[in-house]
Amino acid sequence: MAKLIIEIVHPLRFLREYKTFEGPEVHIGRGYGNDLILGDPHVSAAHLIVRSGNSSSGQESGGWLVEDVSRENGMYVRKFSEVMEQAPLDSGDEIVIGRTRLRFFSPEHPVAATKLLIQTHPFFQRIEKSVNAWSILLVCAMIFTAHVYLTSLEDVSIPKLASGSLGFLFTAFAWAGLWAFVGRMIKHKPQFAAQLSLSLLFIVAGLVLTNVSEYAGYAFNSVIVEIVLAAVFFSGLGTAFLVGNMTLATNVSLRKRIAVCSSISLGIIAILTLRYYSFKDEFNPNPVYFATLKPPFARGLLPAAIGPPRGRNLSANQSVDQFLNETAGIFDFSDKLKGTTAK
Amino acid sequence: MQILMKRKKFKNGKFLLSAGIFGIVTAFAAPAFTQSITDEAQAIYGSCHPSVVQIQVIDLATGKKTSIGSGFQFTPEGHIATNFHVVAEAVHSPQRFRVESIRYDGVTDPVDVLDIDVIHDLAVIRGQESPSTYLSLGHSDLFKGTHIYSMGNPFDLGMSIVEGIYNGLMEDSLYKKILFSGSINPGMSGGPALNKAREVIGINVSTAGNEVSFLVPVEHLEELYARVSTAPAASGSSEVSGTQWKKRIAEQLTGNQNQYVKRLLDPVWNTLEVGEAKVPGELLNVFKCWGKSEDKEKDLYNYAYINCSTSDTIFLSSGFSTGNILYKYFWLASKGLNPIRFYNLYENHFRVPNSYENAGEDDVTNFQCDNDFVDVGGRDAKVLWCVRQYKKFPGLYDINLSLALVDRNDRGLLTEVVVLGISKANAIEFARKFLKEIQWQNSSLK
Repeated sequence: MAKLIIEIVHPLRFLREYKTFEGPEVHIGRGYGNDLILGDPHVSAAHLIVRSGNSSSGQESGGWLVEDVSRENGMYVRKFSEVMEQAPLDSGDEIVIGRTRLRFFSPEHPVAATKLLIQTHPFFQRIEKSVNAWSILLVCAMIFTAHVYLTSLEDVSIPKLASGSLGFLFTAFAWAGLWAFVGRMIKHKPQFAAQLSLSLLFIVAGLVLTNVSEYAGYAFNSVIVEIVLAAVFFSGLGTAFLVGNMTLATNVSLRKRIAVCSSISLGIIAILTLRYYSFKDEFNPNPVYFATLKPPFARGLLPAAIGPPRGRNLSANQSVDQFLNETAGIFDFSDKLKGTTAK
Repeated sequence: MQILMKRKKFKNGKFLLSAGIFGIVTAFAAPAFTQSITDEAQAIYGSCHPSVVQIQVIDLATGKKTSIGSGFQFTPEGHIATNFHVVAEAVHSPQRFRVESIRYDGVTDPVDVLDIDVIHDLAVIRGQESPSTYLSLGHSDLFKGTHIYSMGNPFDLGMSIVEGIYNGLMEDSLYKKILFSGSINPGMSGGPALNKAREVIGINVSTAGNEVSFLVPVEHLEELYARVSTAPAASGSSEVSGTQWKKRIAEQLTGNQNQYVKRLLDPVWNTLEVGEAKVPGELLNVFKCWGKSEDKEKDLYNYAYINCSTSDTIFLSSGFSTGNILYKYFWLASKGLNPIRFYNLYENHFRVPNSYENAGEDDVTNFQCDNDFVDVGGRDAKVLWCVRQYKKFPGLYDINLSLALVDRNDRGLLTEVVVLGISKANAIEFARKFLKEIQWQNSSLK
């Protein structure tokens, strides 16, 4: 008899055991005289005998004949969906005796192609190196300090500025710690340095992009431009950042990572949009206006960078008369009053 | 509720400050007066109190009074004068409230509102029964220092008489009021102020506390009464619906703002200097400007501001008033802040608009805004222009015009103009003139 491999499958299909047999016959049962001894109380002391024989498909080799020799609890053959006394089996077929499932394989049984382990991108390997992580930490701390300096209004000493930037550093540490914990649990590799570098870079990029959207909004004099740019930047940046966190901490495939992370970012934006629209018509006694102010160079910067937009010369001002003519539309409340008169 | 109804808040800081000083003085001086004033007031009270009534606004749902005030009969036909703010609820929702007067002898008489003057806060009402007595109307041009007597029912405690001093007409007001140095308290609104000849010279209207009180000159009551007697159809004796009153108030507000905006636009404006800017100053003598500058050692900037405003508030209903104009200038200059840091500071100041407490959700819409870069006096400015509409008076708006000078790295001017209760055409003309009046002293710097 050719080599026979019997797989014992738990009814819930998670506990597996393989046994390899060689010889003309294999005896299966609860008794100690069997070749395969099963602990299942619903299995007879001598339950089955497997003999090498012709397969159901008529092939000479690779087939077996199983016979229920106990006739007590029977033998269920999955292939034929019935309880049988005797059945021809091929490699991969399954029978049930008592509460035990057995699968029969020949050594030639084909297996699925090898799954490759996820390769970390060289970028993640680089930011994991401690020298790089320290450099990133240092540079980012300097950028945060510069940011605190630019938003401060008083003459502040360097130590005070540096302590002002601790908030950003702490946020990055906390976030990196969280993902390092996830990584420790899932991959058994925390990769804290890489997670920290990633979080720091994310916060720096966020600060830069916030400024870009504010300056662009100011130069175009449009709150829409500012909000749309901010939304695009943050959904993109947020997705990229979360994908990075997940890549380091988990084994999820790239496609799934992108799907999960982009839906988280877009979900946040969707919630904010919904909030905006649901509170838009709430009564507010004070005007809500686009009060962004940037230094004079901001208005020259953008047209120089992307060229003047069509139909609008950004650096030219309107005259007072033009302005008052073009904005007369704000006196039109016809759509707002409909609701109140209907009440 | 009643107290708020009756006492109009007076926002002018100077008034409260000076009133505080007077308060201390009178506390010591008062005992010396008491003996000498007793007889005069007693005689006036004796002869006039039958003509003074208490006015109550009754909530029809509960049958109880929701607000009280005073009033007085001034014609043999039984016309009663009071303040508009006393009967405002009944005017706005006649289906929910009714007004009644209580005479000195306790007789309660339901009254109809015949006509109102929201600008001067007056109302003429009339009951069913003809009175036995009434007060005759005099003139409000007395000499400063004359003793006058105000009557009314403060806090529903009983009819009272208060002696005080006539201190002339408030010069700095769009709607001239008599300054009365005596205590008018909530509940006395609508009561008469009398001279020694027992003639009405004014109607109690508001107080700034500590013996600083205001009276509406009696001439405005005569004008209103003239309207009541010549146009009885417009103010029919029977019920006038809420919509008609709304129309009437809208007419008065529109007419009033047309008048004062014309007064504002016609003359040449005087100017003030704030930093490099020459800006509109006290447009009329009704505006008062206050200013301050700050240059702290620690701060990397210094600033100067000037706030100008009128003190005239027109009461429309509880929580809804209009008629004010104010404009603020804020000059900010850097002492070593780089442009980005300076503009962060500058933006923080620009972000906070004037807080609007004059109206609620039932009265006004939300603001609608637009903005752009505008050439103001030859320099670049970002101008924000916001408007909200009065729901009950759709021709009227509250406006906010804000401006920031944005052509310098280290200094700038913020300006905010607020006008409450103005028509579209007037608002645009006012904004146009205001923006065109702004000029710069060092234009050569550009």
